[in-house]
Amino acid sequence: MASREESVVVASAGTQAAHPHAALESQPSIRPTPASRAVWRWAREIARYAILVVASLAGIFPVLWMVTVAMKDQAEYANERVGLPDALSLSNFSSVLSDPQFLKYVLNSVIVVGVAVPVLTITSVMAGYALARLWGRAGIPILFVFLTSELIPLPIVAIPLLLTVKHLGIEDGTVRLIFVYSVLMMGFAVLLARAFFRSIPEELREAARLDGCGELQIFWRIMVPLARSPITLIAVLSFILLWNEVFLAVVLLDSVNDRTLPLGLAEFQGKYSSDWPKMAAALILSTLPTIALFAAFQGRITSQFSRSTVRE
Amino acid sequence: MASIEFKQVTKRYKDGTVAVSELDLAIPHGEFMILVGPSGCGKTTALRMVAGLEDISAGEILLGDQVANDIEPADRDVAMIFQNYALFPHMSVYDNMAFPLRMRGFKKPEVMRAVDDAAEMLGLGKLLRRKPSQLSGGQRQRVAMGRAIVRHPAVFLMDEPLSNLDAKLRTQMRTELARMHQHLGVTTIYVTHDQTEAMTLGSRIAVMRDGVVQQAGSPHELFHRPANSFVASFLGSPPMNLVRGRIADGALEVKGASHPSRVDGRPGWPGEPRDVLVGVRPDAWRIDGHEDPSERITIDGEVEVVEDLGSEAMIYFRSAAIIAGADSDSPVEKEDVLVARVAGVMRSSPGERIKFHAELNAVHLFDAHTGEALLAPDDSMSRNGLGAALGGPPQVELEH
Repeated sequence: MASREESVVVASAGTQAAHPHAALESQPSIRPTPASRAVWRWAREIARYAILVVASLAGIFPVLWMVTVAMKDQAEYANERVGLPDALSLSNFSSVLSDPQFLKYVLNSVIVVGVAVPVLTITSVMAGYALARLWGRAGIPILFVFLTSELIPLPIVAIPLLLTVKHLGIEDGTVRLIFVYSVLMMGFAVLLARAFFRSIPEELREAARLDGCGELQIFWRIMVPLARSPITLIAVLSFILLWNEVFLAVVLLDSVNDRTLPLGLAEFQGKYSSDWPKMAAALILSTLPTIALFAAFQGRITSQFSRSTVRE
Repeated sequence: MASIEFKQVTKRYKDGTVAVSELDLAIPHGEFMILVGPSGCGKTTALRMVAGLEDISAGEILLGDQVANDIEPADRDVAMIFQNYALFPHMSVYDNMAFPLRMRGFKKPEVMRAVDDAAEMLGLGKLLRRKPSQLSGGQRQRVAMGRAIVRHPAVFLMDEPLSNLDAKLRTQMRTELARMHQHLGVTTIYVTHDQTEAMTLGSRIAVMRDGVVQQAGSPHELFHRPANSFVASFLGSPPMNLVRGRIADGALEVKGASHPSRVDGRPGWPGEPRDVLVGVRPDAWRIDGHEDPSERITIDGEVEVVEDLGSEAMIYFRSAAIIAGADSDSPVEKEDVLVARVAGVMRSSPGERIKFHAELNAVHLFDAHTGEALLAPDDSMSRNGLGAALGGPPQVELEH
């Protein structure tokens, strides 16, 4: 190492005389020694970790804080906003869970999202496959529709959607939401599914055809098993987005009883107006499903993002 | 009967490109027919039309006695091995091989028996539980073959199955394929761009170019009696040297040759003036120093590159006359670079001047404009090969 640096310095010194900018280069440049290099590397690592830790804490702090709030009672909270609770009390959680109104909202959400997600997953995967492999050029206008649907902001579509469901005579709020929610996520889901199926080589289809498969069999026996990742991604992401959806729920629902959880929580703010700990408990309970889902499927979702292609 | 026949088969795409043009080819039962040619010549398209994966624009394809144009791929009783194997990634080796049988409704015991037989033939017994991603290229290739074999189809279609393998594995698999064909005797169409594969594997070869079959016949026929200059230069490695020449007044003038050769009265040689291409196989050059304008073409060559392969060497040279006549800046004309195959004991180095001779009895002749073959040497002549390259007296004289 040392001799290389030496020779470089010597070489640059040798060119000084001939070089027009000799004056500027007359000072030997500060060359990093092995020791200083190691220190720099170490310092960079520390800086990297420090930033990550700070960012993570900033992200997770509100959640952790909410948990501490939920475990205090009103009085305690009034005294000490931030800080650990005296006791790990779950009484707020149990009182929220025994509130029939809360449970009704949970049920509504479960029904709506529980139906919309499977419906949209199955439909979008089939549509994505059809657009990827079966429709060819003719599918491009349809694709265009899906693409642009993703670009239109929700508020623009909200009133037309309300008019449409009224026109169709759908009175029941739950049904309205199922209907609309299924379609809401379609654009992104179909695009994702199509992109995935296009990455599967045409030869697999041809081999399957030669082996005696009809189109439907190719789809169920070969394409769907291969599509586990995107299917999971579509289902989980749709679930998370739809579970938290509040805007269209506001627009489309008439009766209080039909309210989904996010909407119901907003109303809770009035009900429990000063009981923040109870509110915190309600909020935590309502995010549990999405957290659980994400934790369970995290591996598959991130693998889809990093897109390991299908190898033969 | 598992014969295949192409009758004036044409494939025309929507934008007008013609991939296959009026193909006529008859492949009798049990034959191993190879379609060979450069990329884009239509060989794969022709294969896929037999499989039913491409529509036929015109003409008929007969499988056995039946016109197969409108028969679904699944009903044609053909099995195909793809270039990229097309194995189902989510299924095990066993399931991949069992798939075609299961799709046709075979019962479990039969399926098991067929798969086990095929697996044994191909040495896949221990790999049945694995997924394709856990296999090497050669193993995947064999699974693809196994999947084709289990069905006992009437026809095998192979689309460049060896091109994704490394050279050594390729040679190995070539022998396995040959063995398999001997053993099973299934009519096969094999597509490749590699002329070595074509020469070694097929009982018959069809050379294709731009959608048209140039010539079809046994490897021997195509090599020794090529129908045109394309076939002549396509088969054989290194390829045949094609040198421009002109026949006029009973003399053959070859570009870069030391002197014209007398050809009047030679049987088979054209009498009228003609532009020709003289074809000299790399192993047909002689360096024995014997110059004779009435029997030989002589090129005073300057060696440019020597490829020493151990047992033999390839000498790339250009006529000294051409080198002298060209500017140092002008690009080397590819057609001026000639190659000779000599025995390994020959030592040669770039810059050396060697006189290369080609027997008039041993050259091919093609029309310079159409490429059509005009003359081919007798088989007895071309048998001389390497021995004469050592500089010994040409065997030709002995056989006179």
